[in-house]
Parts: sequence; structure tokens; C-alpha cells
Amino acid sequence: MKAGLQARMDRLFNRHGDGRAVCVAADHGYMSDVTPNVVKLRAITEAVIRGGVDGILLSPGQAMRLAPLFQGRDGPALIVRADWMNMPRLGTSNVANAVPQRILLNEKMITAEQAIALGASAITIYLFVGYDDEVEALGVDKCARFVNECRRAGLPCIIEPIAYGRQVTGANIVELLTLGAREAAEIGADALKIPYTGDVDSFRHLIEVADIPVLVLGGARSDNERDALELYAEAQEAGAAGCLMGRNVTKSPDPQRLIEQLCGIAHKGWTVDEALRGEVWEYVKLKAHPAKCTGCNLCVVACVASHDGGSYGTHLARLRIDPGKGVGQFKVMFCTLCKKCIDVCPTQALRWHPQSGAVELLVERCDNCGKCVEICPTQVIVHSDEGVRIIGSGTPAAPQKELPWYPVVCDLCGGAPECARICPTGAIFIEERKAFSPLAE
Amino acid sequence: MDLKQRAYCDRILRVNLSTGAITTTSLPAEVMPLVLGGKGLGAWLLYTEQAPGTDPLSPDNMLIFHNGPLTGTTAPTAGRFGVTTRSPATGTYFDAYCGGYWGQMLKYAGYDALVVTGAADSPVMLVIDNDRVELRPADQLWGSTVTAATERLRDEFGHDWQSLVIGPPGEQQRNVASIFNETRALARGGVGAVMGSKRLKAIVVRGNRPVRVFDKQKYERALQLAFRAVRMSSKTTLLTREGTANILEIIDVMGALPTRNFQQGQFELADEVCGAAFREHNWKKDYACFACPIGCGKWTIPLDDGKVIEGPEYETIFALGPNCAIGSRETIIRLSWWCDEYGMDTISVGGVLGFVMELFQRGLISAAELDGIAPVWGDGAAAEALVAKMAKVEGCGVWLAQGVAAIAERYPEGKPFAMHVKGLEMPAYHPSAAKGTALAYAVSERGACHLRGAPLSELFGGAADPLTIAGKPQLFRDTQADTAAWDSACLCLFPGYGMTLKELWQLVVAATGFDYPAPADLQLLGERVSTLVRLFNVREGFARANDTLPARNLSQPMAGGPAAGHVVELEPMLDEYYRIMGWDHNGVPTPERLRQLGLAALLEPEVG
Repeated sequence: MKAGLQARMDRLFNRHGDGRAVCVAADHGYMSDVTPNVVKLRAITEAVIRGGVDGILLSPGQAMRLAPLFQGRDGPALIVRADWMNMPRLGTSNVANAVPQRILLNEKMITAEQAIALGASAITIYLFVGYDDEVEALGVDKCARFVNECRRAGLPCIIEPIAYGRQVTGANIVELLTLGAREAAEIGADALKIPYTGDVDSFRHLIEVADIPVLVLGGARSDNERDALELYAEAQEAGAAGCLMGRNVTKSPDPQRLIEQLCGIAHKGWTVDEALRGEVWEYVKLKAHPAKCTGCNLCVVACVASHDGGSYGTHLARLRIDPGKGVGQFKVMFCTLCKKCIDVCPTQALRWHPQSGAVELLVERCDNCGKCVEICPTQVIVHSDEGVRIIGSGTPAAPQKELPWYPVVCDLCGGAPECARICPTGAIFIEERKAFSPLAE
Repeated sequence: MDLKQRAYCDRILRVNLSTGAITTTSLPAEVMPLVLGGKGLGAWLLYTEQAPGTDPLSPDNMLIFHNGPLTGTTAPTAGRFGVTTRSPATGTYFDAYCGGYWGQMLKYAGYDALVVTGAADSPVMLVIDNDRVELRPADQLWGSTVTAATERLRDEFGHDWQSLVIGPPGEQQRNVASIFNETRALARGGVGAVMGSKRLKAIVVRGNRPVRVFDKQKYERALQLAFRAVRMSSKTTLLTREGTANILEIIDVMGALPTRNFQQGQFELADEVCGAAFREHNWKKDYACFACPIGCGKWTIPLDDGKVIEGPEYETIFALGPNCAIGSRETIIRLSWWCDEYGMDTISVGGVLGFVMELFQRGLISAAELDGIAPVWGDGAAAEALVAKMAKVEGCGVWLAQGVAAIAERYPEGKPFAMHVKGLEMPAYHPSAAKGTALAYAVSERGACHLRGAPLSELFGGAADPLTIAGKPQLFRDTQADTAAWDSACLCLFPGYGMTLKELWQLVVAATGFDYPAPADLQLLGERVSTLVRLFNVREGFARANDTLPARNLSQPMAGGPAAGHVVELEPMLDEYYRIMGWDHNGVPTPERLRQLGLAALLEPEVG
């Protein structure tokens, strides 16, 4: 059965000859809510296959129903979930389907032979660490028997350690996961499915300790499309052999694109930025959905922190949140690149920055007349705290003078504005500034 | 060690309202790595500077406002601040925390803490404009509601100032009084009464000082990880969508939603008052505190008479809804409006209403004693009339606003079902259906509290069977230490539904440069702070006898639901908890444990 095991491992991990696999976990349907990502499973499965996914994790029933999609030499590898547990039904994320949970339960619902008959290339089973000794002992026993069963059948067994229960705290979760990873390897797992530990160093350590291929899981979906890619890129940097990402993919508005992006990182060596944008924006502008603004002011502090020596604060921010009229009617006020300040400047001290396309102050030309501050429709040009001494040769082009203050203008952080990066609700975001040339205007 | 390069201002502002003296002192540099800030700093100042036996409403009681090292940065919820004092309701050490937009302003003005002592002869307000600090008369504001005072201050000072105010119950030193920053409150335990006893109506602050962290690059990296952890969490996603009310359904399913003054653990109208129902019918926009990526706050659609609130959140819904058998969302919003408008704590007010309704149900109180109001279960109009009495501090409201424990002294037959611990009304998790939480209510340094280490994960995290006591003391000890660390860093607890202590530790180490080799060191810090506040309470005469629960939880079996027949087996849990904490049988920390926690050397003169 060794040959069968190797063939199935290759089907999963070596479709691209790089030992990496981008996989989707779509086995949520029998444990959590009947959310759209569960109901539209066929469409999602087809989409991620179009995106070039290497493997898909399904419950046995869905594996039977969707089996035709896995056929053919280039079809993705099928991974089957062997067990059920009651933990996700507790109602943290799925109140409607909640049942009171008294103790953690975990049942096996398929054998290795049955999984192979379904065409599976691998099978996944949970291993709980940190709940209590009895549950952990039962879990180890179940996993050990199952690994043996898989080995006899020639089916790769992926163990998924979960740190869950009363012994788990924020202080020990990384240690528990690392321990669970090693435990799974000792039991005889062929690969691991495991959560990211949050940083590259501790995850690298976990992977070294496990010493078998590790697939990182994605966890709950983030609205920030960068998060899933960043998490995977970091896991891969730490040595992960791929990912088994669930809700981030299945709940994504565009699962195919996300898989293409993940595959780009896994198989083509793309960076997160390359994967994310797919195209280069030469110039950007800030845009806003004021209705989404909760008034948290993270943008304002992030703006200050990225300028002026890196301290945190709100003073001298290049944007602000106007409280507006009525409750919660915030207005996001930022540089709209309207050009009024450039036009009004009598000394041509303001211009488009040749690289970023933002407004730029040539301070040696500035007479601090204040016209730009006055005219700014969003009132985001502010007085500097301190003055500046210009030491020129004394000619009109290079004067010698002392300014008590100068206007502080938004520089779009050189093209990657911090305010848009940190905004938790997408109330401020960037768009491509098309058909713009700083010199022509 | 230059604390100014380690995310602190290294300045404590001290205002004595009796003498008018305004001074500043620096932080206790050698103590800071041991207590961090926030709760730890407040506890340190109160324990080391306040004379034992100080009357909570006397001029000598310290009212300490504090932020933390991360306050004012872009850390998730970095606007949070707290207040520490001795509570008139409980007589214990008392700390309360608040989001809103005041905390970072105090930091930007250049202060890690503000210590108010003394009492003014006539109403005053404190005006803090960076280094310019002054007291001004506030006779014009005295008597005004929270909203009216806040709006007048905003008109007078402008949008770049932030205010803290009390309402009439605070002025008249009632135990239900809170301190408000716009719609957000430092609540519970009568912290507003302490401010009122000093005749301090308002504190306005403005600042523009920067906050410098120890290692900017490392801090930004830690921020990235923290924010991602918050975003990639289904629990924080639910908080964004339905606020804290998202848990109401599951708590009801678990039989732990206190109903009719804790006579039941399930409410027949739970569907009417759950987060999804409020989302569908009553909320129109999310509200976030300063630097919060979650935004659990919600603005309501105005009621017919134009009343709008920010809320209600889960505790408010429980207290003013199920606890009074009220299943109308509009009534809950209306009652909540009275609390917010006049500056009262919704949990305590709801606790009072539920208690009075049960007294009435049992014929132990008459309508005549309540100015003609007959508080029948579920009667929204009667509830509103009582709340209005408390808000305006008139008639029966004068004594009702002193809280459940005080009312139970007037009606001693109600004591077995007076749902408070140490004088603080119980929050929204029925202790008989959640044994670890019951232990936390009994032991917590500020009375019945769900935010001082109650292992709520037993209810909605599935960490353990909520109906067993096995392992609960350890679970409580761990959660208590985590929470104390979180409060000392002075972040809101909600990012902790995505972040773990590890992400907090990464932020704290990068910001302060303090030598905490592992997340566990922060947990140790939390235990140290929890022990320090225990020492305060021990000094004020609190001991094992006070770590208890109402008879309803200890000897009256739950009537129905999943926890039917259950009572809280408190004594064995207390024994084990004290043992784990290194406290003696009476709940007093042993000298040996104080040495292990590094407290003995610091407190040498006091502990001996």
C-alpha cells in the first residue's frame, strides 16, 4: 500500500511539482449554519476548480454528490472529512443553529476504505488539545486507530490539531498548537491542517517540530481581502506546504479570484501585492463611503504616525473626521486632489508630485500667504507647528528667508495611503487615478 | 529609563478640589513594569496613597482616571480609559472602564493619570488644555442632564475637546450614578456619586502631544498582527453586526438569561429582544469608539417622540428587558434613554426594577410606598415611571437609586432574592447556570461583575460544561489574570475575541520595551494586579464571608431550562480558588505569594 499512499500524496501536494497545495475546506455544512457558502457548494466548487485549486475538503455526502467534478487527470484532489464534532454548533457564529453544549463530542463517520471508494486522495480528522485529559486521551486513541486504518488502505491521513477548551489561554495557545502538531506527527499523521500561530517565527518553529507537510487553515473570513493572502504568504515563508482555507474562500464574493491569487503565491512566487492587484496603478486617489464611517479616527492617528517622526496622535493629521450634523453622520474630509490650492498659490510653491501625483510643497518658494489653507474645500491643509529657515543663495529662485509656519499637505503617503490601509470599514479607500500625468497638468 | 520614550507621558495630574491645588508628579518608574498602567496603575495609587477606612463619599477618597501605554496609538480600541476609586455602593476597591473619545485626549494632553481628591464648596468643572489646567465654576451646569451638559460644553469649547460629565443622580451621590463621555459611561458602583460628592460636574480636556513608542517598527508589525486577528474572527464580525446583543439567543438557549429578577434562566420573548431583532427593526448605524475596528455600538432609529440612543447593548437589554419581563424593544430603548440622559448605570437600574417588581409580586412592597406606581412584571409604563423617579432623584427614586442592597435593607424579607454581591447588582449571566461565572461574581474585587475574569467562555466559547464546577477555579484564575492584564494595558476586552494575550503581549513589549519574555509574563502581571486589589479589599475588612452569592443561587434550585435543579456549589470552588491563588482559607493573600508576585518588596512598609 506504500505506492498508493505516495501516489495520493503526490496527487495532493505535487500537482505543480513544487510540493505545495492550495486547498479549500468546504466541509462546514454539517457542523455549522446553513449559510450561503454551504448551500451554493456546487457553484463554489466549480469556481475554485476554475481558479486552479489543488484540493478540496468535503464531507462524505458532498463528496458523493460532487464526485464528477474531481474526475480527470487534472482534477483537484478530494480530501474527505472523517469526523463530526459538536463544538461549532455552540452558537458563537451560528446562533440560529445553536445547541447547548455540555461536553465536547467528536464522532467518526467514514472509514478509510469508504473514502478511497469515493476517490479521496486524503482524509482529515480532528485532534483536540487542551480541553481536558479525558477528551484528549479519547482523541489520541481515535486518531491512532484511524491512522493505522489509513496506512493499511494507503490513504494519507491529515490530522487537524485544535487547541480548544478550558486549558487554552492566550498565553499558551501557541505552545499547545505546537505540542498538538508534534503529537499528531508522533501518532503517524502524513500531513497536518493547523491554524496559523500569528507570526512567522512561531509557525516556523511549529513546522520544524512537526516535521511533516503542514497545511495552514484560514479561520474566520475577513472583509479585508488582503488578510487571507498575507496569512498564507507568511505561513509559506515559515515553511508551510500549502493551505486548506475555508470560509475566507467559500464566503468570498469571488472564490475563483482568491484561489488564483493564492495559487500565484504558492506556485508562481508572487508577492501579496502582485497577487492582490493583478495590475499596476501608477497614480491613486482617495475616495470615501461616508455612510460606512463609524467615526473611530484610526485613519487620523495612522496619518500622523506615518509622518512627522512616527509618533502617534491626531495633531497635524492631513485628514479629519467631521462630526457632521445628526447622530453618526460623519464626513470624511481628505485631499481630493481638486487642484484649487495649486491654482491659487501665487508663488507656484504647490505642484503635483512627479512620482506620487499628490500635492507637493516646494517650501523654498512658499511665502506662507495662507491662500491654500483658506481655499481648501475640505480644510485639510494645516499650519505646521514650527517654522522653517530657507538657506538659499539669495537669488529669487533660491531665496534666504524664514517662515514662521508652512502649509502641511497630504502626500498620499507616497502612493500607499495609511488612512485607507487601516480603515476597518472601507469608508476610505483608494482608486486608480486614470489618465493623469503630473507634468501635463 | 525614560518612560516618555516608552509610550507613557510620565506625568500624573493631581487636583485637590478642597485647596484648588493643581500639581503634577512623575510615574513610579520602578513600579510601572510590574503594573503596566490602567488598572494596575490605578490600583497601585489607591492602595499606596489612600488611608485605610476612607469614606467613599468623603473628600479624601481618591478619584483616579487613567489610560494605558497603548492609549492614543492605533492599537485596536486605544481610546479606552478607566477610573479607580473606593465605591460607595460596595465599599471595595472599584474600577470602571469606558470607550468613547476622552481617554486618548487625556493622554494627548500629556497625562497617564488624573487624581482628583478633596471636594469643592460649590460646583466646579476641571478644564485641561495640555499644560494649562484650571478649575472653573459650574453652577450653570449643575442640575443639567448628561446630554444637556455635554452639548453646552461642546458649544462652549468646540469639537476638539472631549468632556466627562455626571447627571443629577451623580450630583446627589446616588449609587446608580455613572460618569459619561457623550454616550459612553464609566459605570457601576456609584463612580458618578464619588464625582458628585466632590461637586465636580465635568472634566473637559484637549491635547496635541504625540505618543512615542519604544520600537516603532516592531510596534507597527504587532499592530498588523493584532488587526488581522481582530478581523479574522467570527466573534468580532458578530459584534460588528449585532453588537454585544448577538449573544442573547445563545445565553437564552443555555438557560442563563436572567429573567424576572433571576427567577428564571430563559425568557419567553427572547426572540423579540435579540440582536437580530434590534438590527432588523431599531438600529440604523454602527458606532465605534476611538480607534476601534469593531464598532459594536449602534445608533437607534428615533422613537415616535424623537428619543435616540446609542445602544442598547446586551447587558442593558437583559437588565431593562427580560429581568423585568419586558419584551418590547421600544420600551427597552426608552428606559435606556432615561439612564443615558440622566447618567445612570443600566445594569444597576434594571437590577433595582427587577427587585422591586419581585417585592411587589410577593406583596412585600405596596404601590403607596412607590408614589402610587404598581410595578407589575412586564409593565413598561410603570418601569419608566420608576426610572424617571430615580433619574430626577425625587420621591421613591431617592432611595431606589441607592441600589438593590440598600433597598434590601429597607425590605429585609427580600434579601434572599436581592440579586447583588457586595452591593453591586448582578449582570446578565445567571450564576446558577454558569458555575465558573458564579465563582467570579462571588469573588470579584468589585462585587457581582462579568468583566473581572468571569469565564464566559463556558457559556459561549464551549470551554467547559457550564453546569459543573470541575476545573472552574483554574479557568476563572486564568481569565481573571488575562482580563487584569488587558485592563492594565487599558484596551477594551472585545478585540480579545480575535486577539489573544499573545497579540496583546506583542503590542505591549514593542510599545514599552519592558522585559516580558513571554505572554505568560503578562498573565503573571495580571495576577499581581488582581492580588493587589484583593489586598485593598482585605485592608478594608473584606474576607471569605463577603465572597458569597444571594440565597437564590446558593439554596434555591433553578426552576426550569437546561440548568433546572441547579444551585451554585460555591464553597468547594472558593477553597480551590484560594489555594490556586496562594490565599489562605479566609481569602487573604499569603506573604509567600506576595513575594512570588514581586509585591512584598514593593509594599514593604504596608505589608511588613
